[in-house]
Amino acid sequence: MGFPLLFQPAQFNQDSCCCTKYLYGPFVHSNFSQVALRGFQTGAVSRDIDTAAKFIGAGAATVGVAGSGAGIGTVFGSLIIGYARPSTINPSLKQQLFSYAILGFALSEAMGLFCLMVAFLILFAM
Amino acid sequence: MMLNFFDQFMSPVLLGIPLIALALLLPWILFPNPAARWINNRLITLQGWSISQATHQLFTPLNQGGHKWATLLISLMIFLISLNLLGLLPYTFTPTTQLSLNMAFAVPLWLATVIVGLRNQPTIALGHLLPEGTPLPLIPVLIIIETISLFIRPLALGVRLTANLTAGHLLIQLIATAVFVLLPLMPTVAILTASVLFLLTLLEVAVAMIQAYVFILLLSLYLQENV
Repeated sequence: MGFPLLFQPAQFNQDSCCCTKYLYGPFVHSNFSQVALRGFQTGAVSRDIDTAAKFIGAGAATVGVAGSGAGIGTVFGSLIIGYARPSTINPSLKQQLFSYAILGFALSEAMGLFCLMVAFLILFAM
Repeated sequence: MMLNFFDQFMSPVLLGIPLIALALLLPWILFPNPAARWINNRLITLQGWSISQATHQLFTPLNQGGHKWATLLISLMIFLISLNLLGLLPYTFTPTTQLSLNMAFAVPLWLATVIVGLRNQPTIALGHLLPEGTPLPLIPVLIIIETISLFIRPLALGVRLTANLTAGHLLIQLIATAVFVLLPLMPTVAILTASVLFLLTLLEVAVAMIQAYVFILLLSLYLQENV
């Protein structure tokens, strides 16, 4: 069972475009899952320690996006609390509140995306 | 490899002509001018109403000096909203994913607000560097921190817009590729992923409009401090 796998042609490695890589899939129905597994194991990129370090760094840097999630949750939770207060005097406060909530959402999302951008920077530019 | 997913952000060039110039001109033809009539047609009336609503909401907190900026900022907002929304169409290039464009919007406008503040009311503008009620020993540190915060503003403005749009487009392309690959193998999982893709597209439409609005809102807030 293992031997035919070992002698699979290595054409998947030379493909530089990821889009055509998947086009081979439907034609090799019988052992597609094994071929896909094979693609994971024999990818030329996964050999280099440098690339492995980049992957680990990018994965670790993506954890920072959790802060953005916490921030957005806080902002909209406070918006709901602010909406629930009896605002009998000034209905236009709801409009202002919502506008500030959208501002807070965008700023918090920006922080999360800065973190994600550092992850991409590590992955591709360094 | 993921590097190919970034090809969508390359500035398109056809026969040596940078097509980004064409992409930047396109929103101009989408917003017709009002005709010289007392009452215009429905489209122009709606357009005028929505623009005046946005202007009213953004510029009410500002004083007279700030109202001079209304034309510039509102037209910039319409430009950014249309660029972002047009970029969500398939195979359409989004110019606002280019950091150079967003920094070209952010840096001159931020610098203009700072210069206006320093020129007309230098004491008040510099006074913003120190919040009220700081304890005496903290003053030097806080001034340094506030100056750094001031200089980070244009960077944050530009990068916020770029990163939001780039990340959104990347996510859409990734999930769409996942759906496309999963479809012959596990159709049910592909349908679930397709529903995720649909929700993501709705989120991206919202983000496209929100990010343009926040860009202008923050500029108006910086103006409010300085004018």
